[in-house]
Amino acid sequence: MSPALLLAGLASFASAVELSAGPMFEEGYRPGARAGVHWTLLDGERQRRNGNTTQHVLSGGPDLATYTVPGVRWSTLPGGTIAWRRSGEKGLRLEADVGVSLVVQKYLAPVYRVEGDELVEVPMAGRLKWGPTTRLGIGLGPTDKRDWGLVFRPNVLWETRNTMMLPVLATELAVTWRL
Amino acid sequence: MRTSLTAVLALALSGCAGEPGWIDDRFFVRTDDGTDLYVHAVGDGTSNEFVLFLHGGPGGGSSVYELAPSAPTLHENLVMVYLDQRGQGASEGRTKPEDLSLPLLAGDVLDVMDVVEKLYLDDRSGDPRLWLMGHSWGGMLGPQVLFETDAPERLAGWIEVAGAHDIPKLHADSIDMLVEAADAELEGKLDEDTKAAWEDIRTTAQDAPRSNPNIDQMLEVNRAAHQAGDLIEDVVFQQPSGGAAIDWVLHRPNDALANMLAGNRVAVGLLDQNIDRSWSDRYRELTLPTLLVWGRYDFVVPPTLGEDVQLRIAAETADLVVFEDSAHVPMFTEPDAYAKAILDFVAETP
Repeated sequence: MSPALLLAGLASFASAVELSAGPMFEEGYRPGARAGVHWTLLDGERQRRNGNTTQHVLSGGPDLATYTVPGVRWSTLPGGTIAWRRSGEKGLRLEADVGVSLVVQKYLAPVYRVEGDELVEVPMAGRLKWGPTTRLGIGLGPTDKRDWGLVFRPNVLWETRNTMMLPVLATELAVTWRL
Repeated sequence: MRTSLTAVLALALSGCAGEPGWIDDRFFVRTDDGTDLYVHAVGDGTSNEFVLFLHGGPGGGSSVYELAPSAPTLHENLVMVYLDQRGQGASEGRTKPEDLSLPLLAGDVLDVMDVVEKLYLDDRSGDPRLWLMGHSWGGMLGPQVLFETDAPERLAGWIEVAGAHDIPKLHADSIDMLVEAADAELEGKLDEDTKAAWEDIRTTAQDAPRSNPNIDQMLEVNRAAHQAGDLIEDVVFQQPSGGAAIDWVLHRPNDALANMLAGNRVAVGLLDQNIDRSWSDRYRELTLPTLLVWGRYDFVVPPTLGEDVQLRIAAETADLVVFEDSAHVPMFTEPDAYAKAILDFVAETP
């Protein structure tokens, strides 16, 4: 079963579920995309002095991201995140996510080595790594009047590479749907 | 209008790609220990001249050199093979100091030479030649390859651009040059900011030990040396063309922040290991045709290092070209003259 079908199946059985998907740009311009589903784990409302209420939600779920450095490598990142989300009555939303992902990197450039006197191309070359992810978000979340929202999310993936945890920056524009 | 804009963009981004014999290959070389080194080979393959380039830093990677205004001229006349040394740029590799050494990096260069020869030289008609070229730190790694391996038998020549082949001499000469330049500049009429900058530079240089510095003291002088080069009015940094800049951004193989952080760790580790290393005496063994290229105002790797090599080297051809309006990066400050010096050397070396 594909991850997308699995997510869709799981989502159909839950009561407080939010899907999100949209383009992601590594370093601000390299093309990619990210999609995920979040289940509400805890939620509550807080009354403010002006009478308005804000909603606070702790949610979590799996997600899948992918991006390419053209001509060099293609990275796919299955993982999961825990998120805190604060929404106002008009839908203004602030988010903070932490998570962890596998980083499946496939080189798009060939990998060569010389064995004996022969030039050999290494088949299916790439790297398998892992890394924590952190994400902030600001935008419009779903409200009582609409089931969708639009959130801008700067991302930092901490990639384990070259015996370091190296930050890889990305921006994401996610459309969210409340199911 | 849209059609013409698209055509201009396509032309700007494509360079000479598509011409017969044009090479624009990105690939990795897997070393014996499983490290994947990133290489970009670009230029006119019909020239039969292939130049393996060792970048400076250490720590930076090689892609920034493709942005130099000299690069298009070089690519039109030979093939530049840009290697990201291990742990740097888009190359993999452990970055802890204990996992890095000059012999290890030299072994990587040999692995890349093996692949480059198989890919481009072995089956090519005519008389294809492979050259080794190093800038700054690449001038420390290059001699390790030249003096400690059998690589010279496979090379047509060595091109050293502001090569840091003797760090004790580099450090001492840099201090002398900084103090002398600061004294001269401070005698002239300067605005307050420039005057303060030169006074700081002079203080840094005067306070630094001329011999046996630790890594922090050496890097402090290095920072002052870069700053001094920036203050010289005759040294004008030339911007790349818009098309070249867009092309560079779109094809840059590494991530800027990750590259900088990994590069810094590699830099400190490798410089600390080699802070006492000098290859100067070994140039008496070098018989390969050699081109030495320096900037007159290079406070980072003073031109005295090039003059010193020219006195020692065994090679019959050992030209020293000093650019009068350049500091440490003549490929950015006098790109036309820089490219011409390299192309003339390659063309005139039998």
